Amino acid sequence: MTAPPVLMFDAVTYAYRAQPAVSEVSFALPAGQLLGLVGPNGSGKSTIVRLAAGLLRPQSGAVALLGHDLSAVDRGAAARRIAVAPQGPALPDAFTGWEVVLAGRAPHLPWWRSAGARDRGVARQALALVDALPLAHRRVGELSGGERQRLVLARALAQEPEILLLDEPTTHLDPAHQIALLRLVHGFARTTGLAVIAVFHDLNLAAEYCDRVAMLKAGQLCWVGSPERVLTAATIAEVFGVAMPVARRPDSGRPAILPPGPGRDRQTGRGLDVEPARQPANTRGG
Amino acid sequence: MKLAPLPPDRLAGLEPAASRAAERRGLAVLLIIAAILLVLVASVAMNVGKAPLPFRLPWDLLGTAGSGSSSPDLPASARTILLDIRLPRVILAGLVGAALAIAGATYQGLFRNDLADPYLLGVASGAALGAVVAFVLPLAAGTSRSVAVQAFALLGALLAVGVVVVVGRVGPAVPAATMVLAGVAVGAFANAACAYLMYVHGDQLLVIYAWLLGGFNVAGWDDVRVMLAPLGLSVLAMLLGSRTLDVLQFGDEQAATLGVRVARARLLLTCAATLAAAVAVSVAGLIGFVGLVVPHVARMLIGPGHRRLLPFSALLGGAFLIAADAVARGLPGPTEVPVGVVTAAVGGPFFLALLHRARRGSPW
Repeated sequence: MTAPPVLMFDAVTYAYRAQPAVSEVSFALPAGQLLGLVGPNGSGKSTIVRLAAGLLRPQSGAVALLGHDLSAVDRGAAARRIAVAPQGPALPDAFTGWEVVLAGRAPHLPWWRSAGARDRGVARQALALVDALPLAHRRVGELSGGERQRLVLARALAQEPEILLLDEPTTHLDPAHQIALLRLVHGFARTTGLAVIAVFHDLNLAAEYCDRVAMLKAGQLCWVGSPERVLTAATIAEVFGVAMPVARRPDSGRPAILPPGPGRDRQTGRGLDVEPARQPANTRGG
Repeated sequence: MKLAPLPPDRLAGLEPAASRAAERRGLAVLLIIAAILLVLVASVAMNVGKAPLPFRLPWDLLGTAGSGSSSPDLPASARTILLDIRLPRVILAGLVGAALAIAGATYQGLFRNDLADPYLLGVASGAALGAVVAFVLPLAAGTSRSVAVQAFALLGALLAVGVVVVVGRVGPAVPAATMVLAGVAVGAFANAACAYLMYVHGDQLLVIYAWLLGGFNVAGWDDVRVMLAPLGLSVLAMLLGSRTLDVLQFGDEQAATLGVRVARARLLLTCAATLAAAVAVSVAGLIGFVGLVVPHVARMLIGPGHRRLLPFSALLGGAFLIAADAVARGLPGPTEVPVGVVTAAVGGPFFLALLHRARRGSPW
């Protein structure tokens, strides 16, 4: 069960100018695992994704890819193992969906070569997997946010990575596509050993699909562990500063986080079989 | 993780180019059409000039080149006019147009900026300044003047583009507004320096001025020969880098996650495009708008993929400048109109239309 980690954060600290974004973050990501990052806005989730992608260099500590210091790994070699689906990325409007996805093959090609038969086949498969085949010859400029997001995921899949980094992959997607995407990624983790780090705002999706959840607050990793252990009423109250009752799903046994209602009396989830919401431990202003 | 490749027949017609062979065919067809256009334009241009020669069709021209000077219907003087005056002029215009257009297309892709072109970036003015320096510099005996002009033009062009990119960049991109402003400033400085050098070196004034005005009226085979090697090198580099240019369209950060070493790729491609532009300026002087207009027309016709865009731009640019030069030659008047006047007359209105569209935020 304990596969060696494909990606390892060892006391990683990164600050934008003087503002620390992540401090002393350590975790290991084994192959085949889906790790969810949760935390309030500005808690350092996207910074961790960019550090894991090698786009940022840790100011202290180190990120290791298969035992090698990531900042010393060649960009092309890193891109063959790590794929990123960034959050709301800017895409060239004049490109077709096909051109976007085919760019995912770039790391596998020498810079003077263009895509071959297998590259095209892989790009087609990637489009099919995210239900985006009809987008192949639409121009990006005329696509919706969710359609672009699926193209970016297809591009990441076309990279055939060992590590997939998803920054808020479900934000613009409708529920059917959210579930399809997470099932797809989960399936790849199980069958091919793909390791995934995904940033979530929807705690319920994180609870249901992740093997482990890492909860961040102000750039520090507060808890890492199974969804049942990390996503509790107490931790949510402390980290997010909001009282949310947490129930247990009868089907999967995973936590179900219930948004509190508009009135005070509806914040406790009375009448449900739930762990009662806690008032936030520290009620700092702001 | 590996994906099982999906065969093309599973989605008949969904993928724009269903197979590599189809794309190759498409690319080949486009290039052949553009090449035929180029040859047609060149053939017509061969018939334009002050000397009244009977209109000759392309195959007649070929025959002229092949046969000896004793061809019955063509006197030796006409043969000289066609082969040693008009032909090198047409070829040189084609090469310069191709160089400016492919450099413009590469700049536009590199800086993700619709307004990037050798002229607006200040590259052309920088190259001109370098060339003027080479004109007035006392050269060691045995040094070729045209090689010195090329080398100094390249130096000036690289300096200009370096300053524009360093000063104009905001974060990783070079936005249109700051780039144009920086380019105008660098261009103005280079032009002032040129004017000063010409003022100081009054004896060379006419030579330099005629060269600066641009054009091909004194073009000969030597000019063609001198630009072939550096132009070939830079065009080859740009063509090989066309897929990297495509990936750069996603922006620096996404390009990096797709395996591109962004800084290195940008440096190499900038140098290649600048070499092409500098070579063009050093043999033909300042000819504006070719590098701006042609890539946009090419993009409208065949889309943004640089694998097609770059060679297509080069062919269109060659045809455009050959045609513009023929118009400049053919317009009535006591002397020839500078070719830059013709390109600006076409390019100016086009540029305004481009600005108008850019302001409304509509891509092509």
